[in-house]
Amino acid sequence: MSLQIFDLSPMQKYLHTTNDARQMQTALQRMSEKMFTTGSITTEVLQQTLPYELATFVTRLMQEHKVTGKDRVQLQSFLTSLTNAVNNLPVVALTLARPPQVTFLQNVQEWFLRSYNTLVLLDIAIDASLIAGGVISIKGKYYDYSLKTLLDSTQKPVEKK
Amino acid sequence: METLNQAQFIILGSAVLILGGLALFIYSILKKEQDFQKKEATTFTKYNDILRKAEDQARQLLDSTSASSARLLEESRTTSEHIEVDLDRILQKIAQEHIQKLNTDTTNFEGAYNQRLEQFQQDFTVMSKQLLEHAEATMTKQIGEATTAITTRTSHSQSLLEQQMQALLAQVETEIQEHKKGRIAAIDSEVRQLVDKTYREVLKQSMPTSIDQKLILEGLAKAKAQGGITL
Repeated sequence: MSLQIFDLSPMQKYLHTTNDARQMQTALQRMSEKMFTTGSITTEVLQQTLPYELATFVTRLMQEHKVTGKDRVQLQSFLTSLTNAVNNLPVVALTLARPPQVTFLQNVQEWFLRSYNTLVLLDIAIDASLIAGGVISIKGKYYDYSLKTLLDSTQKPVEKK
Repeated sequence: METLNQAQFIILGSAVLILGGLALFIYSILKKEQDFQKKEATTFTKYNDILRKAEDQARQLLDSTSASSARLLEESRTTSEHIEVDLDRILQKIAQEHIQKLNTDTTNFEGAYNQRLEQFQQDFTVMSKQLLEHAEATMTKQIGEATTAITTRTSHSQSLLEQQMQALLAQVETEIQEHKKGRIAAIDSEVRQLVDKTYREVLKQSMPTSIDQKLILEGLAKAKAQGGITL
């Protein structure tokens, strides 16, 4: 079962940040442990083990890929692939002046999904000195869209006077 | 009684010989000691004789010396009495001659001294007068020169002082201006920093959260347009 078969974009509502991804990985780990304890996974077990949206998403994925909760080997392979798919999502580090609202995070993710056709995980940090806006870092490259930098660049010629 | 065999005889003979030798050796030592004691007694007797003789000689010498000293003392006392009388007479004569000579010399010296003193007084009066006249002239001249020099120097010093004052004034004025400029610049900078800080704080408080999204999304769009984002 290859990783490309998983379209994680429907998880956009649930999976915004790296923290969300960690929580999801823990939940999947719990599910795997449950499977070894009980010998199978039913929809009821899924809903008891995972958060509602994640449980729905995993159930749908299992149906799409014809994974039955009774085949332990198939289920284990499915869970491993899903965990790896989450691990391989691109991470966008976002340093903001203020704590963001969920809609803001969704809009940024939406922009990446629209522009690059992939779900990204946001790694959020707060730096109040930025005033407004923020700094984005992707694979070691920095994009500074903060108001502080904007003001600094406009003030420098005045100070030189 | 059993007869002695040869070996026993030899041992007995050797023992007798050794004993004989030993007795001879002791006898020779005792003899030497006796000779030495005799020699020592003789030497001691000789030393005593020598010492006794030396003592007798010393006593004789002391007696003769004492006698000579007494004689010499007696003779010297007689001579001294003669010498004393002669010396007295000679000394009296010398003293009389000296007194006479001293009196004559004193009289002569007093006359010469008075004469020289009178001459010296006259010379001193003339010299003093001349010196006073010369000193007066010199002093008048020097006072005149000094007055001229002081007048010249005073006017020169005044102008020099004025120049220095002007320079100092200009320097102080420049320093004040520079200090003022520096202070104004520092205050200006502080005010600017304060305004900037306040401005930023106000902006932070008043900026709507939507502006964050606007700035980020616009920036991302710009970056993408420039081909800068690689996921």
